[in-house]
Amino acid sequence: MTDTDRSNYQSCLDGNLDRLLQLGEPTPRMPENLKAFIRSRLTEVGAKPESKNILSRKWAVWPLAATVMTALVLIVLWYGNSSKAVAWADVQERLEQVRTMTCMARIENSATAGNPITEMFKVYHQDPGLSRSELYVSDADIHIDEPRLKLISINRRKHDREELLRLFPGARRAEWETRIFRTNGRELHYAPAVDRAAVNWKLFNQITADKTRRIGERMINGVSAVGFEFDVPRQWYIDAFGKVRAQLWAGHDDGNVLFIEWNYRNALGQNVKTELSDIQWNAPLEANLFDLVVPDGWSIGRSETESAEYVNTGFVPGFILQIGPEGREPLVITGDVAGVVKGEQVTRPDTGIPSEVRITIQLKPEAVQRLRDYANANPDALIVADFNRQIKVVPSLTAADSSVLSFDLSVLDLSLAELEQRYFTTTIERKRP
Amino acid sequence: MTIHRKTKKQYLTICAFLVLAALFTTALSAAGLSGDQPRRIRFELRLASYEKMDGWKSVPGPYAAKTDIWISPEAALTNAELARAWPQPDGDGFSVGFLLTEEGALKLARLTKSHVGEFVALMLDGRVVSAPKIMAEITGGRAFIQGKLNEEEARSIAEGITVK
Repeated sequence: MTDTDRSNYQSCLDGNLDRLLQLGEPTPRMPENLKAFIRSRLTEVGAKPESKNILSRKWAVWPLAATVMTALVLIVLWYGNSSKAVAWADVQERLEQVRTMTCMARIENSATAGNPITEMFKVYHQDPGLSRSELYVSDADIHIDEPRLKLISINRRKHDREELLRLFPGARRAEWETRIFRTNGRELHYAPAVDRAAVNWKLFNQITADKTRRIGERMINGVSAVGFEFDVPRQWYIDAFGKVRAQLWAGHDDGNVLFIEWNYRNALGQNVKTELSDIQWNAPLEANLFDLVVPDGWSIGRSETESAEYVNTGFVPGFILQIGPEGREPLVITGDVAGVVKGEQVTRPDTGIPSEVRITIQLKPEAVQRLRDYANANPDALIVADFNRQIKVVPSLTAADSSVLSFDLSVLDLSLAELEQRYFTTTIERKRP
Repeated sequence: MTIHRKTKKQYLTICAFLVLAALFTTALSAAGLSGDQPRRIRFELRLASYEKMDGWKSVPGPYAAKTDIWISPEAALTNAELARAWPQPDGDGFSVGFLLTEEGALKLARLTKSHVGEFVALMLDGRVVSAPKIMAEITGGRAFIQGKLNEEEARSIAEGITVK
């Protein structure tokens, strides 16, 4: 402090003291020695302002420093602990070791206006390719020994063939569907749908670590779990109409999957949320759970679905395809077709139900872009495909892969094999098993 | 004796007639031309709304609640656009599946594309049996009339709506 400052400070102090004494003194006079004492004390205190400030700041800094240190320690501890938590690769490794799985599946379908429809299933899976799901009549049935069941679905899957039996106890009726997968290529690329009846945990191994995101930790049934979020390839789902977002929670220490949830919008615009909980891995299962047996006296409806995957297949020379808005010049012609990639036929023998026949074609990128641009600019315009000047059909543009279009050709009344023979450059050999 | 012979002859004639009649009826029945043809059921699909619409007609809605529903004055689809219909297994009951003609399929696609989020009324003989919401464009010309039916009911409707 300079001399000038000290002088100013002293005169200011004296002025303040006099004003205080005048205001606060009830008696006419205060003894001079008392005034001098107060003045000296005030001067003494005023002469050491820095040391007083330093002392008070120190008191403020200590708790702050302690808090920061504690936070740092906690962060280090948390990080160290997290780094020990399972990684996606660990989860996949655990899934590789799975042979059986049981769980509860809860499916919430926000169908139309009003409350969402919720269904509860008990699900069983066993390698290779066996699954069973039981739909309860009501949630109250979940916890009783002999629950009333609305639907039992049993699925036995092999490489190129699948048998699906649906039993409806209330109606004493069974639906038996046989699905056959064929290709003219070297191998099938078919991936079974991931749904309540056919969750295939091996499919999760197709999700690479870089496609997942850690979403934190939480307790599930008293077990600490680590969460991963990722987008499921849409071709896993038959009816998904947009992004399929999944969350998978695995045990923090052992990597066992504890909870799976996925959400998507189906082709009807309904939001579907599926949760798998109470998951038990590698528990022994009764073999007869997967027997394809229809109880005596029940009626049976049979259907056969044939799915064909085509490689290097196109339309025969002279075939004409034109796709575009109704009554206007086509945006896509035969030359824009990169290939015929898929065919599907559903038949129901012994019924009057006509076969469903559908084919899927892939377009060249520039043709896809033309269609997309037009559809974006004219959202209400109906796109129509003229199939070889024989029939006009509306292509489905909502397939998982944006470069493909599919057509329902049921009205032609031709089987898939007949369509191949007439219009495709290759056919698939069909051998009855 | 003469009378007896005559009576015998008459009996033979009647028997022969009955046998011929039975054969004729069987043949007609096999050809689907008997008098037991299914009764024709009028099928219509119209735009519908649960809110009052000017120029639209209010009729009892579907299901047990019978809430009134307003239906468009024009039918978007009628029996003429139905190519085939059949009883379709549907969960623990049956519905009526139908396949539209080429023109019918285009009409349904046009209607559903431009009215997503709205309702359609499926009507049989002027009565609304279901009123689903249009969730997306329907391509392919294949649809269902749902209504917790048994197989016989579904078959009867399927046959009735496709009588030409």
